[in-house]
Amino acid sequence: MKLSAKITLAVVLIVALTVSISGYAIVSSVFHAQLKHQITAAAEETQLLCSVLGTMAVERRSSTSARVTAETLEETLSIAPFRDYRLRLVQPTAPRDNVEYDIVRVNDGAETVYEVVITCRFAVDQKEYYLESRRDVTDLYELRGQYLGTFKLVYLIAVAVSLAAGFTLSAVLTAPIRSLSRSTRQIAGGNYSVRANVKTSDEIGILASQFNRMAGELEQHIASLELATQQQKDFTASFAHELKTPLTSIIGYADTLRSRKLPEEQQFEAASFIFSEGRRLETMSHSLLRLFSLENEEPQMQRFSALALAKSVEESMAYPMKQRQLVLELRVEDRVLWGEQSLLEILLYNLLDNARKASQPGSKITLLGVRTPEGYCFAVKDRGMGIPQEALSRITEPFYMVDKSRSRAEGGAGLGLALSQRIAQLHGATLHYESKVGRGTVVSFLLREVVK
Amino acid sequence: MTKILIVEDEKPIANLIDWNLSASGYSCTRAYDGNTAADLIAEHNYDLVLLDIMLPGINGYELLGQIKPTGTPVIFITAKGSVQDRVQGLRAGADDYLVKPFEIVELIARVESVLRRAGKASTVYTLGDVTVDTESMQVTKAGVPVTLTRKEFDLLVLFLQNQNVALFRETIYERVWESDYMGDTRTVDLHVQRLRKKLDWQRRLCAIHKVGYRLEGDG
Repeated sequence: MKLSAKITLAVVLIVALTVSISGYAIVSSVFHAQLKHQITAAAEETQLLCSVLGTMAVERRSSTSARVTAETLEETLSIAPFRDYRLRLVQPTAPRDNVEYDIVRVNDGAETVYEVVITCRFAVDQKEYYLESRRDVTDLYELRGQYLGTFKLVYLIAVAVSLAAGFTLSAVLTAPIRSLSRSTRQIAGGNYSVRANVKTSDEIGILASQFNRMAGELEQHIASLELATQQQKDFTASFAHELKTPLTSIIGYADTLRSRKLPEEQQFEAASFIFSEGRRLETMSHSLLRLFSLENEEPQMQRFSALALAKSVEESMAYPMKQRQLVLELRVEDRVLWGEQSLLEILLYNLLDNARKASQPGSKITLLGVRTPEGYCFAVKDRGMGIPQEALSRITEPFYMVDKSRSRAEGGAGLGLALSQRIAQLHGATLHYESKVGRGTVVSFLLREVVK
Repeated sequence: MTKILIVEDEKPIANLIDWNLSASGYSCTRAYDGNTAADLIAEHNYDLVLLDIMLPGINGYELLGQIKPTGTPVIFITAKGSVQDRVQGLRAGADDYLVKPFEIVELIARVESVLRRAGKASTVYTLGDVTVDTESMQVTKAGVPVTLTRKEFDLLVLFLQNQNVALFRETIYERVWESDYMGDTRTVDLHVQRLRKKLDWQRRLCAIHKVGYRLEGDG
């Protein structure tokens, strides 16, 4: 049974019960009061009549016989004023109290008549008699019937009103619950952005606000899960693509070499392709292994000198820089920093290598290391081709390459920045890019300084 | 001469396809990105387009939409090899689907079959006095019909498609018997010997020591 139906039923039951009990109680108490009044009046009247009858019988006796007898009383009764009353002498089988009453129902043909019968004991000449008087109280019963009729009408109206009230009340009370349940259903159906719109301040309102909080958490979790799944999928797809491309060349050229008689020139070319594509696979597997190992391992954090790090990276970059006729400028403040130096070397090497690839021969690349209020900031600045705005948000995705053919020519696998990003993350830093196409790029990140 | 456009952004792969198709007697043009390909398609008529899906500029699906109205058959070449990807590619209107990495024999077989289906390749091979009609599956030597079993016929067509190419036993087995090679060399050897005898090709079908066989073409 629905909650609203339950509430309605409860309201109707309570109203019906209350109205019927109270109504019946009022009607019957009024009735009984009136009846009692009638009985008292009748009893008093009968007592009065008894004494009058006694006196009059004694008076009549003195003129006729010596003792008052039942006959005398009967005679007396037949004269005025007693004729106006319905009186008779009775002889009960058992002795009775002074005044007793009884209500009898007389079926007088078609009509039913209620009468109060008063039996009153009195004594004349040391002899006891009983006088019975009757009084019609049918009016009272009829009145009670009328009252009950009216009451029934009132009762029906009350039930109808309570039904309507209960219905409205339950609708109002259960509206937030229904709204909540609708939201639950929608969320269960996969629409996680739905919230319960319940503004009441009662328990249901509290429940709704807690429910909304839960839904919010759920939505966030689902979103992050979906993002992770999507990233995983993207990664797998890119990985498959990046793996299959060099494999296609290696397998294809090897197959061609073994099946066809090629001119020497083409043989050499095919072998070169196999070599370079094999190298590409090697680079990729190397970077991937490093990326995977970083996913699972905690860095070995130590104190190290910022200048020593910069010098070490400068040394390993010297040859590739010279090849491109580039100048590497070092402007690094020496401080003691906290982190894993070997990882940060890879990070800086990758950033410098990207800068190198983006720069025209003869231009300058700057490695900056400065203290800032937020921490120690490393920045790599080039004056190269820059990164297009729409590519900036994607450059740290694994296998993403802004210019695929150029990157290929340089032997890149599109993993350098994904790796760098991961290393920065392990040091609690994020890579920050500022780039203008044709003007150059600045990549920076913050490290913790060891305070002496 | 049958003209084939190769749209592939990976230069080594484009080069590889070009070499092998050229060696099989096709005239090839390469395009390394979608825009170049679109221009070439608009300006020239090709008999077949080999199309990579992930391309810089206009992608493969968009190009397919441009090629389809011209009636030129298209073979997708892609690293995406899932059933879903294949279905999507074929639904988009590609005539066939070649998944990287592929073997040269497979590339040539698919190119031939798509061209033949499109009515752009001859269904008849002629080598010396041997004529093979792939449609009616009739083989004649000096005008006299030669009776071949189904496998012998398939083997013959494979050799004709790959003239002057060393076919490895496992490749032959996988192409003709269409199942994985389990090291059973006798089946291939037996069929090759019967083919030699029936066509009197003892010289043309030469064995390559420990490897397989090669059909010497006229060229």
